[in-house]
Amino acid sequence: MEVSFIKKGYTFTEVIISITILTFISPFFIDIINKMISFPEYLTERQNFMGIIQLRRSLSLGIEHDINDFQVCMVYKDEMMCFEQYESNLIAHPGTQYFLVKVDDIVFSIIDDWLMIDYISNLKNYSYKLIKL
Amino acid sequence: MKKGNLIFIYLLIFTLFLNLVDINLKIFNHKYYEFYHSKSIINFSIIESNVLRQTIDKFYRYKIEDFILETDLGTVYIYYFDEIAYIKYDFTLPVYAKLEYDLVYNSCINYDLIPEALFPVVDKLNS
Repeated sequence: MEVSFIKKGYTFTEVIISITILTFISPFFIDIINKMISFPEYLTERQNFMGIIQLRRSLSLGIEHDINDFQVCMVYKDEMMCFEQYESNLIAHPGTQYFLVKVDDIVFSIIDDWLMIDYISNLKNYSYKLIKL
Repeated sequence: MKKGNLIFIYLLIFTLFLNLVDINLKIFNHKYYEFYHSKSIINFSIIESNVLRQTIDKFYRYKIEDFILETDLGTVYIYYFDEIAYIKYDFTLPVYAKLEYDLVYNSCINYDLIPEALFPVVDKLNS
């Protein structure tokens, strides 16, 4: 008769230790997965952050700004240039330059001599100072 | 299941886990870097905007005279040469720029950040 010494199960202590380790590790995994899920939104936010800086510079280079709620026009390179929402983007025309992507409800306003822009992106409201008029 | 297969599966899962950690660290680094620098980028952008507005305004009104602006980040020097304005942002890390303006059509033509070597008034600034 042969006696087998191969263990075919886990002791109670081993199971408890495993569960304890899992408890400590699982938030890290959840955090990783959450960050990966929200990464596209983060990329959009970052793109729009840079877009606002470019928009501010472009607006600073123009003269004779004409502003209404949904559009800002100005003279640049001896041509009229306008910034407005097209589908879900803020574009400059003439041309095809995109400044903001995946945005809605873009509104321009003047507060304390500052040209402001407000928009919604990923269900969040954003408001930025652009240029001092 | 053979022991070799188990080790292979374990290694595969461990590699995937390492990839996840790597991606996560990159995201974290990007976020930290941007968070750390975003305020100074915004500050610079607003100062740059103000400088450009004043520089162009002087062209627009034909009151073309060199001027200096004091800002939170440092001093900004603006030098006019005919239809070109050279701008030095004298901050912790100096930034140089060139703005071209067309006085005939009265509008800005171009604006670019330039390397220090192309900035023509460095000697004048240092003197």
